[in-house]
Amino acid sequence: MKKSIVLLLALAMVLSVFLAGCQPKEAPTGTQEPSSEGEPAVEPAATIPGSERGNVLTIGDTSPEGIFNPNTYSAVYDHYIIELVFDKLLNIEENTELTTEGALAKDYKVSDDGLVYTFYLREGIKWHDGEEVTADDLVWTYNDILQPDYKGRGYTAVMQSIVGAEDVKAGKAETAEGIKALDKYTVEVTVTEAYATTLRDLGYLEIMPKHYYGGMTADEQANLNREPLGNGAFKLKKYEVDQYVELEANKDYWQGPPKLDGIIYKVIANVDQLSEFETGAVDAVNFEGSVENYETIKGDTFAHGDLINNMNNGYSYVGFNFKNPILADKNVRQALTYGLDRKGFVQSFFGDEGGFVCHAPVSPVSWAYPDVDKLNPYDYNPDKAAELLEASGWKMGADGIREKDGKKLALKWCSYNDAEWSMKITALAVEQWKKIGVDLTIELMDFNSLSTLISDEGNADKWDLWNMAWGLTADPDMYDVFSKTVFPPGNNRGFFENESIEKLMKDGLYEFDQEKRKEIYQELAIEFNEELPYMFVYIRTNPWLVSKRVKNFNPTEFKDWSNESQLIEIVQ
Amino acid sequence: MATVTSNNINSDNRARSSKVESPWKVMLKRLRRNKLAIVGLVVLIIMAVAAIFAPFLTDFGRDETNLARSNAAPDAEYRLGADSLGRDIYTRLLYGARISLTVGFVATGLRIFIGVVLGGVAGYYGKTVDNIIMRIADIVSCLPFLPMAITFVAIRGPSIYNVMLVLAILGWPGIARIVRAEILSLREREFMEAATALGISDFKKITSHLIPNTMASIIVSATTGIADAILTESTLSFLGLGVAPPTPTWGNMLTDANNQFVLQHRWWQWVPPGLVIFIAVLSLNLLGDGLRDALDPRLKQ
Amino acid sequence: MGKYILRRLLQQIPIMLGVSILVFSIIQLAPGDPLASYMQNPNMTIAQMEALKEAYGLNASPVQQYFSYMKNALKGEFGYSIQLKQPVSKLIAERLGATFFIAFGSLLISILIAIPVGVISATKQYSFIDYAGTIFALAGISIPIFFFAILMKKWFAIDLRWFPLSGFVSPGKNYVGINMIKDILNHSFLPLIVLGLAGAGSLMRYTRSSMLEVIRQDYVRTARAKGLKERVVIYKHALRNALIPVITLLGFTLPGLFSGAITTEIMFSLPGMGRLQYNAVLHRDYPIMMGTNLFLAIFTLIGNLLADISYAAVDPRIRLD
Repeated sequence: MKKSIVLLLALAMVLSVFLAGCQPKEAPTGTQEPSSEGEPAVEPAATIPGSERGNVLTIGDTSPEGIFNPNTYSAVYDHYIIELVFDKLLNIEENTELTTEGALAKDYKVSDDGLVYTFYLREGIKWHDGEEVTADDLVWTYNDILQPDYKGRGYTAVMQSIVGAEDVKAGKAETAEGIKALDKYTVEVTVTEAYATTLRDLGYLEIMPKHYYGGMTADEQANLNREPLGNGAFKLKKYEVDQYVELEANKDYWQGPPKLDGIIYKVIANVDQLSEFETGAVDAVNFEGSVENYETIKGDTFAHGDLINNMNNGYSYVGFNFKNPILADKNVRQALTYGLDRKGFVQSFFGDEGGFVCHAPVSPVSWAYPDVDKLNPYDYNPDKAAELLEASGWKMGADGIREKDGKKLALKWCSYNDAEWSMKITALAVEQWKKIGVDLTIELMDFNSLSTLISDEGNADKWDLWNMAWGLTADPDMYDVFSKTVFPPGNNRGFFENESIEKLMKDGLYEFDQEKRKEIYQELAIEFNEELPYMFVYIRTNPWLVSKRVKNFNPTEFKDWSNESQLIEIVQ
Repeated sequence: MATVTSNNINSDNRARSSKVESPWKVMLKRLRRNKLAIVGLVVLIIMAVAAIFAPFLTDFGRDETNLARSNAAPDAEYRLGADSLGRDIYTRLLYGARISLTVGFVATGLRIFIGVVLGGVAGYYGKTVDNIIMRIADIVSCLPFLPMAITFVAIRGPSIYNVMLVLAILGWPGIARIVRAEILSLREREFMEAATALGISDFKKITSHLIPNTMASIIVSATTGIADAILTESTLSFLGLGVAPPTPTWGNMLTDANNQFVLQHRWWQWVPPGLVIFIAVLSLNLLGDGLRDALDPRLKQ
Repeated sequence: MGKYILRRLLQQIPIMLGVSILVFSIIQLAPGDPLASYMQNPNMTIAQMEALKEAYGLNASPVQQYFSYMKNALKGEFGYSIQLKQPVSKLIAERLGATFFIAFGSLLISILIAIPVGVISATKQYSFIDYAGTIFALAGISIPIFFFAILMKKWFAIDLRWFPLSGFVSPGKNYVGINMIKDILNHSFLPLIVLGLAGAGSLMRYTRSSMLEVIRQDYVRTARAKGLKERVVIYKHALRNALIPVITLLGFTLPGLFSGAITTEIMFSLPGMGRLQYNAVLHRDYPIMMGTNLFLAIFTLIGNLLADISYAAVDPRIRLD
């Protein structure tokens, strides 16, 4: 008898412990909106959590990989540190146009045929060890990417087009003949193909010091990954793996000493992003824009934060396999798009602030985005979907699945289970497409297996749909994703092929006139929206929560917070 | 894991004791006196029944979504509220019991099967066979459990089968050692010699005499093994390497708890799965603990 | 004894080889390409991918890859991480500290909880305290570690703010000496408690049954009969003998500790080996997966060996030859 009482007591105890977790927090006095713009901070500065850290900014984000090398890094988190330590040859403006402002080049010149690029470096800029930044450093930086043992992903089509690049890659030459130092501060690069993106690829990169990184193999160079020597506003002071990166101000910075004494990049887990900010352990955090998170930051314990709600430069999609005749039919692709409540999905997943339905493979904040009225939103409309399927001859069968010529409208969607959105949208699609007579089966695998599966042409009959996301750059060029020249193992995994789109993409690639390019890409966006090589799903936001004690912390769609770090200030 | 190892330290002592009654009967008799273990058993039976009759206990389909009711709090329609896709949590909990208990039972069953066969063969034939099998057992038991499980599931793809498979593959050496040790000590005893004198075949000797004698200690190990399997499944699911959604398991339902907002404002999305895992595993552990006490001759009063 | 240890050591060599072959084969089963993460970059060309594969030696046959791996492993080189672009041995070495601290720290906490509770449970068998101890111990091993960690973080780091939410040290403070220890203890308190409580359950149960057995031994009865005080009987005579098998059990719990540390390290963002391995799994970084699994297998071997040797040392029934 006694035993069961003890058991009950213990269970009651445990239960109460569980329930204690969901009691609402006691609200401190005052009810403030987290982001009341224009309004001065009402509370005395001293109460802002984190004030005790003084003139040092603490950022909380995912662990960098420790590859603080501009030519070989691969994670965006490493690039934050790289941007703090290294300046770029050319910079970009808000509207993504290239500029020499805040850049190492004071001027640049492009030949009329678009084949010769000349960069004029500013004089007297010093590396962190006191040596001067010269043309030799830039020449070395380009050539480093061309080396046979180079393991990064900087060997782009533009780099390959440099005169003599292939000889260096093949080990037949040490340096490419197309890269020349004309004098101590001038570099001339000659290329074989005049792409519209050539200037951006050659200019929007960090220069590395030859005297520090030069004369070694790729593996030897990798030993310096954690001790970068740059010329930027901050110097790397300490890197504690999986814990934090400590940077100190470069007092001799060529644009004047930075306003901060230092920056600490603290490694935090995604799930802790908001809590770390709430407790004041970090001053700024780039959080996941889920509906729950937007709700959370409305709480009183977040009153010391301002929200910067940028759009993320990238989009998520569900790709169609054009090798399957069912999906090669535009009506079916449109019907499937009408038949899935993407708006409802985005709403339930991101709420009103965290994401938007995507209509074309272009960022809505880019100059290449057309007038939104010209894009079909494909609002959820099962009737319209049914109509389109009927039009293509898909008749409803007795079992609720449509059929044509004795063939069922059955599709297989391969997805990955390491992301929440992909598990949720597949679950939703099964239910909603059933209503328009489509029998959908889902096969879940991990991301790498999915990548491998769809990158092999021989697997094309094993799947009909897949979903993934693309990151976008400041330039809207999408030739490497949708051209028929990049079928698997290239990036065009769905074997999409369309004459007029192909031509437009090529025109855009070689067009130098900005106004004409704008027309081309806006036209392309409209065509993509009609043809639907993908069912475009969402563009999410990329929200930051920044403490009121921080000023001039301005990440934008195309520039990371680390881009103009010398301006960031702490106000107490 | 420690529980398994402690078993094989005890096992040779245990084998010497059962001379009059079979350990099986002694165990049941003593178990009946242990109230905690009986409570555990009853809870488990209720859960198993609920899992089996899941479709009769709910009006919803397992994966039925309703975006209009996403994250709905419990009400008359959704007895335990809804998840972010508007799926009924009560329903998914019932179906989740199926998967979670299946993972636990099948993985443990598989593990016991491999362990009994290999341990039995090793113990009975001895010499080279024994040596080879036990060296393989040594190798497998050296593999770090969770790290290897993560590696294996990540490589083979997260699915209910792979979770069960990896639990069995990494878990059999413990059982094999118990079985082998029991058989080694039983072999020496008189009734086996008598069996040989009567001309009974090897296979028959193993199945009819040796295995039943080891049954009791295997059952103890199995009970805690099921508990471990359910916990491991939930951990793997949490790490994104367990049973893949939309198939519900208690483990992947609990994954929602890893969000401060959900923790604070939507208790129905994490308290039920958390509590159910806790109660199920605790019940199994109480039962296993009771069985161990009932079986352990040192604790005779 | 020396001979026994040497023989046991030699026996470990084939086991270690077996482990390496097994781990290597499992990792070779992987369908995904370790370079798949590069495919998210639209600017990546086919030629680039091929060049990368060649550079990482991914085009060689599995057998070739195994032999070249083992050859290097004997020299102490465990390959080169594809994702982190550093030698695996270095990546592991710089994370061993945190992992060991968490593993042994939580073991200490387990012992501090389990042994007193186990002893009291045994001496007061079937009392209220015995049942409470049993439920407490079994509850500790009935909660998934990750879930326990979530709850602890919520209560003690977010609501009460007694401890930091995550991390191992305060970033940028660069404490030394006593301040560093204080800082680390402050950060690791919650993870140690989580892992320590989870480990205490089985240890407590084992202590209890070991103690129960000893209490019934003749020499304990004799001691009682001599009229010694109950406390002296229990704590001087019985406990010492009861602890011998418990101590050998600790050797066997080592691998479990490192396993449990994975979840804890992930939950509390600790810079340990478990987190390294988990990230490697997510990124298909084969060299790291191989290296961490081998390292953990070595720890397991060492743990088992220690357990064997100490058991042999204290238990005369085990023959040493």
